[in-house]
Amino acid sequence: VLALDVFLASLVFVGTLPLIAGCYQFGLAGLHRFRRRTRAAGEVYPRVAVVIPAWNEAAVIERTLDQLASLEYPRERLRVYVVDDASTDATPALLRTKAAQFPDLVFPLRRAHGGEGKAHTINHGLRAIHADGWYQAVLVIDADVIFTAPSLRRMARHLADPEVGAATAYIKEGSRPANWMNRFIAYEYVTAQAAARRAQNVLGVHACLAGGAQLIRRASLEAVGGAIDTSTLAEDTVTTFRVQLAGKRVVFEPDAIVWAEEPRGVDSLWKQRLRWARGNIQVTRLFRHVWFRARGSDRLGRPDFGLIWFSILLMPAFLLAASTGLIALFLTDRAFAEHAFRGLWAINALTYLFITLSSFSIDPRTARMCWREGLAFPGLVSLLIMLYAVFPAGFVADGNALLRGLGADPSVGLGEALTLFAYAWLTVSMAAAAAIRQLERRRCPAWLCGALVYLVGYGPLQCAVTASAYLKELRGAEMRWEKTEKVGAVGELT
Amino acid sequence: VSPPAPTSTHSVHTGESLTTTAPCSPDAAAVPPEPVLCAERALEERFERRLFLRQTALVLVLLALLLAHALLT
Repeated sequence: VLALDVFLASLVFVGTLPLIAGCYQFGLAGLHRFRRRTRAAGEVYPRVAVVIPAWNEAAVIERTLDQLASLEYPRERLRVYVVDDASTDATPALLRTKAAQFPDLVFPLRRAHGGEGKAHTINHGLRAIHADGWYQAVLVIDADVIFTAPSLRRMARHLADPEVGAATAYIKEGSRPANWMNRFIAYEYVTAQAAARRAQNVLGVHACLAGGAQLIRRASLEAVGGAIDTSTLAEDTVTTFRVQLAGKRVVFEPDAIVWAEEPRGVDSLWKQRLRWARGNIQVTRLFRHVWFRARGSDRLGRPDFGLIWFSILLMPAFLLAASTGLIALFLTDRAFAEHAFRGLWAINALTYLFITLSSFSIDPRTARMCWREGLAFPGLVSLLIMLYAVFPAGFVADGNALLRGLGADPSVGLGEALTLFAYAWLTVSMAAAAAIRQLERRRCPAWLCGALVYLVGYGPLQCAVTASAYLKELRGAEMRWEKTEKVGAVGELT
Repeated sequence: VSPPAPTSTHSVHTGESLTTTAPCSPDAAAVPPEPVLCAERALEERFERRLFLRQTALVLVLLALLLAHALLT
């Protein structure tokens, strides 16, 4: 019985691995000042070829190009190649207009037959710049990404260090007016970029150059074959890994801020993140020889980097394990189940406090806009469970009084049902998040879907997408590049 | 559309010979002057320094809360 209890308890505490990895990353983020490499670097201005893949980008491409034209960067050291992937809207005409307006800056390229996806479109641009031979670094960006004036200059200074092969920027959600989903994403990007990528700077190893803003040194691009990967849905992550495996470092520049338009609803977010999650599963397979095998200067094999990577990739499995362990313990040893449950959720509460308050401190401007979404990130149900785990006595008394007030008898059955619900919540929340998506597809009012996301949590929504990605990969579902629709919603930003 | 011919024959294949643009040169018209860049770097440093202090304080406060909770319950 003891062995069974220990086994089930270890299943429960597998659920804490993502929390431990999260705390570790946020702890490292605070140490960023000790690893910041720009202190000694002067300003450098390599000749940069910007490659922009564009398919039906009429709503956004003009502003993107105008913004590139006003960068704090020597104009004669910048060329912008927009690769039109056989657009059927006004994109080609707009590109001709912009090429006439900025004849030494904007160079439209067109693929006669498009539809192969973003990676092929980027490679078309890379072939053109290789043939030209002018560039010293290439900046690959998305057609809707708005570069702030100093952003490229701040990214480029890292290339003064010959060890650095690539740099990426801090992509922020810029839709204005921002709806509830935009605010959740804005907060998520504080955690996933401003914090996590600072931590990766400290570790000296990066998981991903943000696809919307990746500056790659020419020698590094050539070292990885001069083209980007077309076999997975995560071409930016593959480039990041290959640049590092070729012996160069990748860095994140938190002060190079660029703005992007992100999804405004559950379904569009689901499609975007499904692509990312499937891409990450494919990358995990592609680089299976790398994980947990640190050799020499190859930092991708660091155990702590592996822990961070797999804590995100396997999160649905960890949560399922924790719920399974708790319910099995409930059936075999209720007192022990209660201890394990409260331990798990107390760690959850502590992690939540640390990560949320750290995020607010890392990007106070974004925090002012989306603090409610930061607080509600795990979902209101999870917050209630955390409260119970930390203050069980007061919570039970208040809960019983509330149930009596509602005419229910807390002593009969209901208590057990609530206990089982709480034990299963880590898994149930993922199913609930998937159900919200289905509700939205069936034209459920946006306000109701939004309210349900606050209740269930944005975090569980991400886990549900990852679980769905596994199912798609197992089924060998077709890899389609479902482009996120952009309407030019990025507001006036400073 | 053909881009203009390379403006320099200087070999940049390794990408290591990146040009530093002197702040007073005409090339640098779009770039802020050096004192502005220095001030900017100082601000960035100050933010990172404060972030370290805030994170340290936060860890200490949370540990204190954890200890207090363990002692009181």
